[in-house]
Amino acid sequence: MTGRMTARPARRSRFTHYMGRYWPLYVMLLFPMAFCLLFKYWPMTGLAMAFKNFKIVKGIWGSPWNGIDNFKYLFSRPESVGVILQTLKLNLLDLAIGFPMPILLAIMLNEVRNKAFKRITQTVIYLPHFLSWVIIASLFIAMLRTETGMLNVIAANMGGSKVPYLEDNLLWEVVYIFIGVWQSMGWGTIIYLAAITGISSELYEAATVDGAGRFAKIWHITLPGIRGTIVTLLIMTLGRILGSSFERVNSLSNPYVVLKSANVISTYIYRVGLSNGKYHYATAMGLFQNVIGVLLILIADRTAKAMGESGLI
Amino acid sequence: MQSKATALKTPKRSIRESVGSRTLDIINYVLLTLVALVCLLPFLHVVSMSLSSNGAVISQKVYFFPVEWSVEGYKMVLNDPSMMRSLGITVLLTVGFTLLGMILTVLAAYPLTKKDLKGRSVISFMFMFTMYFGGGLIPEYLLMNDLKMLNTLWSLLLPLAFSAYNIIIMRSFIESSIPVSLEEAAFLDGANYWSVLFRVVIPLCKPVLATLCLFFAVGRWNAYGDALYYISTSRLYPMQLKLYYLMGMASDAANLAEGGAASYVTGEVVKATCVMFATIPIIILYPFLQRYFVTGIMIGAVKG
Amino acid sequence: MKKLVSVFLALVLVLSMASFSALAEDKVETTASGAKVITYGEQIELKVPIYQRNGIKDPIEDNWWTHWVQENFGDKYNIKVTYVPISRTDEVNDFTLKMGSADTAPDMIFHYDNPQLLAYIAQEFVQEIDEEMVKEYMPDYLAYVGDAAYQAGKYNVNGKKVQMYFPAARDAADNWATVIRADWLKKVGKEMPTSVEEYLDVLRAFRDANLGGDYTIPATMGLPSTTGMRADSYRTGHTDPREIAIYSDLQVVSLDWEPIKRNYKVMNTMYNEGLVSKDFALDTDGSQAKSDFVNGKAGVYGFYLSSNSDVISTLMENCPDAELAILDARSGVPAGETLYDYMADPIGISTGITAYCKHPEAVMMYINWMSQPEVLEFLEYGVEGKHHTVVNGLKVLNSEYDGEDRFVSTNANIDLFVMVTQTRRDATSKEAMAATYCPNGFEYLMDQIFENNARKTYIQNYRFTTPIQSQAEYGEDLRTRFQAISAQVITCPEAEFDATYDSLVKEYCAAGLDEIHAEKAAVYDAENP
Repeated sequence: MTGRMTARPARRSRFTHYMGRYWPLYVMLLFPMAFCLLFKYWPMTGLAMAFKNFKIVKGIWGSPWNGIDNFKYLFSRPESVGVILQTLKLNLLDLAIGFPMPILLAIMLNEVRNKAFKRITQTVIYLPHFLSWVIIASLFIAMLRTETGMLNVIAANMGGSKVPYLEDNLLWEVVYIFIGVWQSMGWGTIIYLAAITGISSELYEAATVDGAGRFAKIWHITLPGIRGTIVTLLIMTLGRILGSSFERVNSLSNPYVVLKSANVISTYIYRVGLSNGKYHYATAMGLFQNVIGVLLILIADRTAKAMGESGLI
Repeated sequence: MQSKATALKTPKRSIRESVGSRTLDIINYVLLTLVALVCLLPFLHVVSMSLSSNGAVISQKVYFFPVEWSVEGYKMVLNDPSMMRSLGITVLLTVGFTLLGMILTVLAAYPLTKKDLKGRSVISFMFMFTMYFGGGLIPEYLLMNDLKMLNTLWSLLLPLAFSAYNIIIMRSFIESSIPVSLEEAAFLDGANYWSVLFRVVIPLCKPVLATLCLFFAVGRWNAYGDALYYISTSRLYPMQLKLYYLMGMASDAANLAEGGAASYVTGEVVKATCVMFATIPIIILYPFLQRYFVTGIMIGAVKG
Repeated sequence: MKKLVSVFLALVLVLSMASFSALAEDKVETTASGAKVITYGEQIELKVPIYQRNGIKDPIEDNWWTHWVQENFGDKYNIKVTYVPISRTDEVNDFTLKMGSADTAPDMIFHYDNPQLLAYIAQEFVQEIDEEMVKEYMPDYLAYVGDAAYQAGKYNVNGKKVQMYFPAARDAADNWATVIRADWLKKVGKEMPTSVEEYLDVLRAFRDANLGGDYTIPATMGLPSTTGMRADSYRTGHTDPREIAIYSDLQVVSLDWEPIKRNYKVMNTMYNEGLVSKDFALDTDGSQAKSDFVNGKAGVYGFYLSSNSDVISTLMENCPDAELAILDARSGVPAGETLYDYMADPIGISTGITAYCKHPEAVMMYINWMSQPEVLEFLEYGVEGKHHTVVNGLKVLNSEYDGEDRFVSTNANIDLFVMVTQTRRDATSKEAMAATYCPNGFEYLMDQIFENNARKTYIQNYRFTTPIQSQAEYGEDLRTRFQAISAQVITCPEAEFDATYDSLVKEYCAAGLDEIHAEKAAVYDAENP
């Protein structure tokens, strides 16, 4: 009894002491938290649609619940497993090739000493990020067509044989990954370049004095210096392992690949749900994608922390 | 300035420069030039189309050089007051959005770098969660309607300004680049969290602030998905939404079928011109921000 | 004194409010044509959707023409007409979102295609139309579109046939032109083909003569679209109305139907013999076909004629010697069979009154007002000397006119009067169409189009009035499969055609087509006892 009595004021004073020190931080957080709650969490009530037979004139809450019928429908279709696997395959390839590219490029750019060259190159490699997928696709398709595409015409004139870049499913996947990497690699360097500039120049000077070569400096200073950023970005990318840009797939797709290589979750959702106003199918599939994504993130975050990184959460 | 830099570099280079290092340089320059060229080609293609005659473009004669040089497209676009208006709206939006986004990001990221802040991981998770889960188009649209923001620029300014991605980037930059000792020193000098944030953290975060500014600005500049639904007053259309309507190639054929005497079908050249018109202003932003990437190197000096 | 003034002011205020409320009563009148109209005592707002297609002109919802409507219709009846732009490229989503609440929902909703109109009914977007009110408020509309069109707005809802939409008029005005290089025909010494066999021979001759250079493409061909793959010409022996109702559809292609298979067989032959581009399936937007033709590489090309079309002008720039003729429509039919063609629905867009609308009579007044001949004619043609010129007694639109009262929508106001009619009434005679659609010097193409049309036997598609649930469910999925199958069966070796076709179609049928056919058959039998 008495113990409790004495414990209380002590706890309170610890609390007031804590708040006395940290209150400004909570005040700072108020503004972004309010934004987050209003603009992100409030609309999340819409996730309920995943378990409803949604009709917009009845509103989200007025529409009848239908349990897990939407999920049953989506996963009962014979192609659903194939679609998930294909999405995984393309995204893993994207990750394996697309993720390291900006790091490599950033390091290469960092090694450039000619300022003018560096600036021009940097600006130029960002350009693809500014073009929409429709424009990118129409250009690449014109270049890669089997009979009349520029690449094949040149190859034919030089005595080579024609390659069905867009018709063969395997080649299409290569093209898809290549275009994706090409489109995003330059833009991706920005964040790493910013991280590299955060590395203390003293470290480099000290290494130079120690007689380290350039490779050694990259390996022992630059890479460790941006390791935190790499891990953070990697974990965030993992969360999107089942997501893929509808615009990218759809604009590069063609009848030869539409049901094979280009048959991914985003286009599948469009075909069976969004195109005929069934938002609840899209919501259900989105929920599935993201639950998997967040689970992966949590696992990756734990792993990163176990390896001594600061992690995401 | 220039001579100083070279003066500093020259002795270092003459000592350390080896054949291997020079070969590395050459390979590096060659590879980067190739990458840059590959990235430049599509852009050259669009530029060339915008400067060619319509006939040459639909004959697909234009690859990377203008054919039958013509600036008609630019004349048309520049003489259209609605285009200028949209550009103005987009600039206004982009500036406001970037400012708001940066304030939110800094205010959210800094407290979360404090390891002993209670509730830190809960709040972090709460933020991160929004990167992957959202209510989708319908509830977001209804929210905009409830807040009476439909058909106002607020609907384009507010919802996307909160970016968990950018907050996480900012946080991880502060954690990895700003030594705790530096902040501790400031506290000993009688500073509080606010003054540390504004006097120590922000000045040292210039590279990441420049990066995030770029992310916010470019993100807003290029987005049209929200405007497509939230804005139904043509006078408030941002540039990219106008572009979206112009690029609706499929609808042109439908238009011809429905309208018959279609008098105003947009030519390919005008489309290409509009792409340039909508892209060049934002690309120009980059070189201005670029210098902040260099100032970041001063961190070591400040610390010392 | 001060008090007195304030009492006086209060009195004035009360009196004036009383007089306002006395004015604020609706006034019912009848127009010269017998239409009931209401002048609202208190202003109401009428939210009218309008297609947004193109961002480069004046605001579609706020321009000289919308002001004209406000002055001549809105102000007269104390209605504030607000136009709500609807993205043409994303209209279903756009309408659907706006139907989320009464604030955002327009008072009307429209669509061209029957399946989507049925979907809007199923989603409860539209309210039932009171036919007694239609008789009172809309005599001009009824007179203009005619009873047949009006009846097409009736749908089967909960077992009752009720008026759900106001269909607009549409006259048959066909500006689609499939042209053949007449100079190439002369060069290979052939006549205009009159059967598919002769047509293939002509294409082979084009190919062998390499008339378009190294990459000669005898005929351009796009990937078949669901609306294009109707196999009209192969329907001999398949014209039973019930069969047409079940198998002929613009959204879902019945690949298991014999006419369709025969059509694919010919396409397969054309592909394998090198009579079409090997890359046809990659040309998803038609730009490759267009470029092949205007570059003089291709012998046959189909497009919508318009007086300022860049197809003909660019072709003549690139190949000054080119001569064009409309391809005889019989080139698509095996010798000895009937030349059938699809008859477009005789109605244009259908407009419904949305579930939230509180003043259905205002919607009716709006559509009826617009149906009046003098209003409609002004919206269609504007002012002589500005918007149109009169040539040989025919009104021809002047696409160059650029005054402040210029046409705003890319189709010269059609988007504004689309609820009443799809076609300008005066523009359907041969002479008028030639003047409207043909570039100078190519007016003869319209003669040939009319000659072609005279050879055709038209078949009209059946219009279901009950929603086909399975079609809504599988439609988009089947469309994607259809595209994939099209590419495969057209490009497979001729010897494997039958086997490839049959095995792919089996899968396609199982993916929903069989279900759709069964449902359509049942619905058809219920609707036609």
